[in-house]
Amino acid sequence: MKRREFLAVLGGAALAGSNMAPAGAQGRIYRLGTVTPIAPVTVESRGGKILTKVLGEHGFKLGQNLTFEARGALGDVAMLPALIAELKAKNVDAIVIIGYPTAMAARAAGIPTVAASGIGDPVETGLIESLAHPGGKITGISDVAATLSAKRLSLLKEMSPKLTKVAMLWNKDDLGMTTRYQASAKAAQALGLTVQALGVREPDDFNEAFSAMNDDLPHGILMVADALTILNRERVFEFAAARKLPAIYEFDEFARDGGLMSYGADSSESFERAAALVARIFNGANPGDLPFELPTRYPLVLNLKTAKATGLEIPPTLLALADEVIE
Amino acid sequence: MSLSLNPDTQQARNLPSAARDGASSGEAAGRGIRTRLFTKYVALFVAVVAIALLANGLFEVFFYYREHKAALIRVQHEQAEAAAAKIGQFVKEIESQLGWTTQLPWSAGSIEQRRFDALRLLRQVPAITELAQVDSTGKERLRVSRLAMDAIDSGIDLSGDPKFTEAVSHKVYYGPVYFRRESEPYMTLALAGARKDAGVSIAEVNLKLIWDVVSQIKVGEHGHAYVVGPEGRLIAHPDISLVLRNTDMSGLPQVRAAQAGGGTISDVLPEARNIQGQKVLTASAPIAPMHWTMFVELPVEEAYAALYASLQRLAIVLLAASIFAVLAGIFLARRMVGPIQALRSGAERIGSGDFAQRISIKTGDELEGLADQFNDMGARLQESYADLENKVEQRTAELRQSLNDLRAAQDRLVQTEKLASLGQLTAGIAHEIKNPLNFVNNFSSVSTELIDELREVLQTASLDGKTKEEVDELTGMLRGNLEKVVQHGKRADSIVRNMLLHSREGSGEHRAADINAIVEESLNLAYHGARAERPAFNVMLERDLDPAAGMADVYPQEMTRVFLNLISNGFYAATKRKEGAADGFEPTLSAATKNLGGRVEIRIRDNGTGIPQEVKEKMFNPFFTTKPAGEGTGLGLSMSHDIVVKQHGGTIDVNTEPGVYTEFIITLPRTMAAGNTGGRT
Repeated sequence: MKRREFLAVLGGAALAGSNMAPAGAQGRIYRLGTVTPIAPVTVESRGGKILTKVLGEHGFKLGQNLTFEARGALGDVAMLPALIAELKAKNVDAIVIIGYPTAMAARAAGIPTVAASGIGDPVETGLIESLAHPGGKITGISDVAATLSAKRLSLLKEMSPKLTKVAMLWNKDDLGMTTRYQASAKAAQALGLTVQALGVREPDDFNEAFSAMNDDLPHGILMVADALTILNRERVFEFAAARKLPAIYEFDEFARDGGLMSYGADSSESFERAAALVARIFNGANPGDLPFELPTRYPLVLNLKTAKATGLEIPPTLLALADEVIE
Repeated sequence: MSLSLNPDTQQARNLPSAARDGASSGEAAGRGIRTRLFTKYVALFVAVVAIALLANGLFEVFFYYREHKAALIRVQHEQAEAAAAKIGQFVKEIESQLGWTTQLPWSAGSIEQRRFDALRLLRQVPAITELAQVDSTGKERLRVSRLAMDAIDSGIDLSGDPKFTEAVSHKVYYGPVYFRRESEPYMTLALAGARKDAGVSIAEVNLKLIWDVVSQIKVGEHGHAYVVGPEGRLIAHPDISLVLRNTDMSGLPQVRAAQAGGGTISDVLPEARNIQGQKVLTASAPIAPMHWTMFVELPVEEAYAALYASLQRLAIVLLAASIFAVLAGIFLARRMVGPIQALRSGAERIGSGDFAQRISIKTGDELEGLADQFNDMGARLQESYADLENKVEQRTAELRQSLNDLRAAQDRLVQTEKLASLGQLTAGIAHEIKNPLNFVNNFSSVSTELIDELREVLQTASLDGKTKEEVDELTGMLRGNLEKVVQHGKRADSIVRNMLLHSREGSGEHRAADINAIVEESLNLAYHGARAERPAFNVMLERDLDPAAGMADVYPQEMTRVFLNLISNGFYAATKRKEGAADGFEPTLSAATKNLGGRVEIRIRDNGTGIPQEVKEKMFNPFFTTKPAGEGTGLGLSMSHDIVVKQHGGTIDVNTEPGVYTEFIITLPRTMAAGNTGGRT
């Protein structure tokens, strides 16, 4: 998969809900925007397709009563407020976003927002008051990535039973990612693993991280997904392959795109739910009254191709438990 | 149906305008009546039809409403039960999947194998978020989760936990519904193995997944199904937000009623507001093992849409029928009122005297019969009227006759009275005059004889010649004077005698006499009388006597006098004309009779001098005469008139042309009227 597509899919999944169009009222045009810190979730992206499909089922049809505006910061998080202001100026009725920084920018703009993924635990980050009654103008799919980190580590250990030292890559500038890292580190300690913390802030930091790993080779890598890490994922894949390191990622797109394995919320489900929430907003609901939802499906995706290329053998029990195996 | 007013449609057409000219108020009244009857008919018809339809419609609606509602409640109950069964099945499926994990005793198989099985179970059953396995002593041996790391032999003691104890004693335990992070509904489902040492599997079930089941349950078009827990918390609803918001449903009357009734709404709850404030019909069914309640609700508008549609149909039918009824009413009323109107105007015209009026109504019903009877009545009236007119005419003629008779009688009476008094007077005068006249006449005769004696005496005496001569001359003159006295005395005597005759009572008896004989006798008498008086008298007599003239009841003597009088007058006039006429003239007098049936006509005609108009007017007056003094008394025609008209009840007329002819025409009834028998007094 090409990087761009990957980003689009991921962005689409994460930002689901930004591309809704007109549905309810007769003759009214509904404007949906999507904002991601990475590549925009366009209509053609996987996320965009899910959004338009589900909204279509609710009566908001692209080309009829629905318009779709996709914006992506392409890694430049500082651009997000400007992108959101742009959409606001276009009178969008709701935006679907991906990522904690986008959520913060949207909250500041006071625009009806549906978070599709990647925003961390919104209660913990102070984005909302409670899942049942978010308040403000935001709703969406809550991220349980932090809790899942422990699960990911255990899966990584299962992949490589002799695992004792794990490297963690995350964006140090992202509060959501930092909490996730902290949760993962805690879980690792409980598993008796040594954590090699590799916080990055900009693409150049990756070289530093790679050389650190070269100096002290870990037994596996856990990468926390955010704009920065997503944009540089290929370098991580390459490094992991070169060093024959098992690596686990947060979303199935990573595994599809060359990562060894992933465990996390189903992005399709997230976008479907986000689309449903957008439909509710189009129909007049206040986003703050719509409870945040939790994902229900957490698919385990294994990439056999990568495994073979890396020369790693996947234990049959793990293979049996995989929800999706890419060959 | 044809309506026309006979005999003349022109007339019929003229009638309204005539009515307009004549009596606009009458027309207005007529219109008023027509409108009232017409309106009444239409209103009655419409009322009858509308009431029938309305009653029928209301009955239908009422029963349809009840049946519809009963069916709705039944269907909804069935739906609720079916939905409850689905939810129950959902839980049962999880339960049976969970059952696999409790098959083996803890003594058999490795813990690793169990972990693998448990993870497989998580893969297969998305609703289970976490699965724990407890051995028969209550110690947790294994815990796998989607979100957390697996735990093996954590050693947590659950032997006192209801999850364990309840499951052991009841084989299965359904924990209370709880909400993770105050949002997602969860339930603990614990299942004990069939074998004693199999232990217990405890699953945390994410009830949010019931959403899939609930949102697929179709309740009508806009209805939906939802599940409420024992405490009234919403467990599943097509609007997942309501569930995640941890909505308390116990405030709804239908939920309270269902929970009070053990899951089923016992009373028929017609309508209640749901959590969104929409009016709905709700049915419920219990979901047995968990003590949840399944609710099925349908918006009232949708539930009653069919009812409203049928109401609408009914309204349309009613409206259409009403319009039809109005039209039919108008049509029928026209049919009814039209003939009645024709009858009315027909009757009105008959009433105003147009008996020739005929009403033509061809409706073939009672109205036609009524019109026929009207026509019969008109015909009768017409007949009666004609009869009446004839009779009136007849009576009028009779009355006129009577009046004439009366007048004639009155005239006669007056004349009679007049003549009677005149007669009495005349008789008295004549009687008084007659005595002195007799003295004058007698003593004149005696004086004549005495003159003769005086001449004889003087004959004997010696008288000279001259004296003698003078004596002779004087005696001669005395004798001449005395003769004149005698002559005029006789004339006076004749007048007096006639006067007496005039006033004398009816002469003789009246009897049937032959008119022709009387005329013949009168002619002879008159002719010979005239010849005796004047030997030179000559006149030609013509007779034209109708042999059929026959007998008439008359006073023959009186009639003879009349004829004599008329004939004498005729002789006189003819002779007089002869005196001044050329030689060729021959005086003629003709007498004719003619039978007129009940009457007899007699004509006496002469070709004398005729009678001038002024004389004709007065000639029947007493004492009027045109003859020189001494020749007529002036009583002849007057007497004749009296005799013919008053005594016999006949008539006397005169036709004349001065210098040409005079003709008297007498008609006599064959039988004298009773009143005339009295004759003259």
